[in-house]
Amino acid sequence: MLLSRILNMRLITHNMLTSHVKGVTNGYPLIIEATEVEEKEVDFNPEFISRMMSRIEWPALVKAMEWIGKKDCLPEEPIENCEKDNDFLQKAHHALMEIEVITGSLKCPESGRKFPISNGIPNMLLNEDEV
Amino acid sequence: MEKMFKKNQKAKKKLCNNGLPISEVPSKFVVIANGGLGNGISVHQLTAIFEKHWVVERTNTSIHCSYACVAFDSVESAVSAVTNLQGTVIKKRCEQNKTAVLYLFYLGKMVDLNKTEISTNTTLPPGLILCEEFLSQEEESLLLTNIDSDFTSPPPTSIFEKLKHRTVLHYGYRFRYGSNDVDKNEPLSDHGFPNYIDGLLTKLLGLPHLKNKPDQLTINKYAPGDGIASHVDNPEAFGEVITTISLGSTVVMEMKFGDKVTDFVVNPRSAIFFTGDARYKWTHCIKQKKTDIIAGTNDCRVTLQRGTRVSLTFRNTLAVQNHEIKLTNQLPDVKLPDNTTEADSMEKQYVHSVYNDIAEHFSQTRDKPWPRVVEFLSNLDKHSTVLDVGCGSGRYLKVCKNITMFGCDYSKSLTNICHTKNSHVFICDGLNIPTRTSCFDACICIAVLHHLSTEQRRISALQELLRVTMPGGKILVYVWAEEQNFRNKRSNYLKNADTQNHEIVESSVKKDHSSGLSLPIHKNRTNFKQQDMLVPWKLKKQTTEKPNDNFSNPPTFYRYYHVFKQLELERLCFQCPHCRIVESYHDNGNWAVILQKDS
Repeated sequence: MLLSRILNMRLITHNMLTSHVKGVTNGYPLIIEATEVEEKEVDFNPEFISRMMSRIEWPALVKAMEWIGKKDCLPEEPIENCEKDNDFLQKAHHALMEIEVITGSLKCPESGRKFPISNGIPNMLLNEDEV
Repeated sequence: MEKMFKKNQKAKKKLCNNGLPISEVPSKFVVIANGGLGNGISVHQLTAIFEKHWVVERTNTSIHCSYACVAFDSVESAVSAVTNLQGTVIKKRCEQNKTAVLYLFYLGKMVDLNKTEISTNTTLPPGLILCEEFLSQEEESLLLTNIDSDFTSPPPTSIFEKLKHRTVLHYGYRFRYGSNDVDKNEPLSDHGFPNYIDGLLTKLLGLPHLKNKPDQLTINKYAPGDGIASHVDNPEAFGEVITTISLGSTVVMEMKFGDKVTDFVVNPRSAIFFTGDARYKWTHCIKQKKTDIIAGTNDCRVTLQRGTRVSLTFRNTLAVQNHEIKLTNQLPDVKLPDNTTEADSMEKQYVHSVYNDIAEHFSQTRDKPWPRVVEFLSNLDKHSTVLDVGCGSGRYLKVCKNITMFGCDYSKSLTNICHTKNSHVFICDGLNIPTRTSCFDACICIAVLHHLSTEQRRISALQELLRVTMPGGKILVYVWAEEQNFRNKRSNYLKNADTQNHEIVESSVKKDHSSGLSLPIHKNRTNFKQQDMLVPWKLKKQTTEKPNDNFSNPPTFYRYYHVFKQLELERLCFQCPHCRIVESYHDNGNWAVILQKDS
């Protein structure tokens, strides 16, 4: 069974996460400070990526790639009719699905609060004085 | 034959050069050349050979020594061993197909390698307080004399019992094996403990660990080879501190919690106080063995021969017992949290911390997806992104191929389990979901809201679900229903009462805790008598442990629940903006709603 694969934080998850520390007005996107990153090949599903295009924040994904150290892998802005452009979707697929952060942290851009990633899992729990 | 003799002499010479006091005169001390840990022979292997024929008082070897030193009980045993084992070939423990030939010589005196001491740097479980030399040797022998005489002719103030693997005497109250409690209505005498215990008791109460004078005492007598199964003393029958005094012989105690195991030496004359986690979470046991093998300093292994050990276990029986509740037939007082701090602290203690502790067992027993949840997920559009809030061990994260599921949970241990199942997960509080607004096509929140201890928090959790869902997106919420019998149909929870005995806890008493909150304890697999309560979770008995007496008692954890009355969930939804109830239903002891966020 494919089920027993270990899945660490992908950039698709990072694209959804935000900081809700008390007092923070814009906690998005979280700055990735990765100490351990892994690339894994994942089956490309153009239909899924195409649908995801309307659900993800593209600038945050571009930033994320930059923080991972893969700056020029994505165009700054999605190209026109990108939902149908296979080359473009391949690149988005690679960024969203094939890069996994195993250890590091996600830093709130406003408060600087760091949320640790360990064992591939981001811990977004806040302390009592942060809610 | 000649070759063997040569080798024998060579080995002898080598030992002499190492400074070992080799003696030609037989003594009870023997050195075994090539039988040491440094040569790949473990103490277990040697012990296995010795135990069949002779009594060994002590064995001593080290990783740095190719030999082992052994103290037999008598010169006769030593002579017999030297004669019979000379030249014995045994397999090495680590290296396959390699053997060692043993040569044995007498020693003028016992050699303790590297001044071996029993390693004292074992980390004891949190809450375990071990006081060495709590009693003097005089106090010990006086106690032993008195106890021996009580075992020979038990006084009328006591109860004598012979268990399969030890003999016991109860004072104060009779300890009931089976229910692991006492009958508060049946004290054994007005005087409590025998007079010879007075001095010991005064000494114990002089330490800060015991707040109240114990009123129940069990004296256990363990012959070599006796033991006690892994257990936690019944938290509902006895107080916060359990005290054990050891007399007579050294023994190794094993304590376990989850995958953590700690062995430590319990010396005679020592006192052990089980408090906190060591009292409530860790099990303790004494293996049925005649010899304990323990790690010493400098990588040495030491064997300890057990003699007869006598232990005195002092307990404080709890005032409220289940039969009293039954007699009054009244519900205990309920005091629920009425502010955020109280709610936070209760949920931390009775929800978050518990799920971390029971994660493994929970994951094994809660792996079956509920059909109507799967149906909800299957009806979503292809390639929907769905967040499972409170995903537990991830039973819904992989049931539907056409959608992409994300899971979040407060419990680190549970998310760790999801992590190995090819699932997207993060750790967070459902009251504060760390994702963008309108980010998911749909959400599910199964069996989560009933762990929140105020109505305001249950509403907040619903609002968070609505916030992260896209306009027009659907949300499925399940909560536990107070009505376990609905339209003449019993839920599986009630139906499984007979088959899942390990989850049944006998009593239904209230449990006070530090914050001043008070909650009744629910009896597993029965109808709910109230909406707010603690529901016991009993860890599965370890099947590896042979049941040697009726005293195998794994720890019980308590989870807080607020069970929902009919229409209560809908009422909460009405208080949330942008929320439309699409469907609501009762499903096998649960209330469920499907919500849609306004477009």
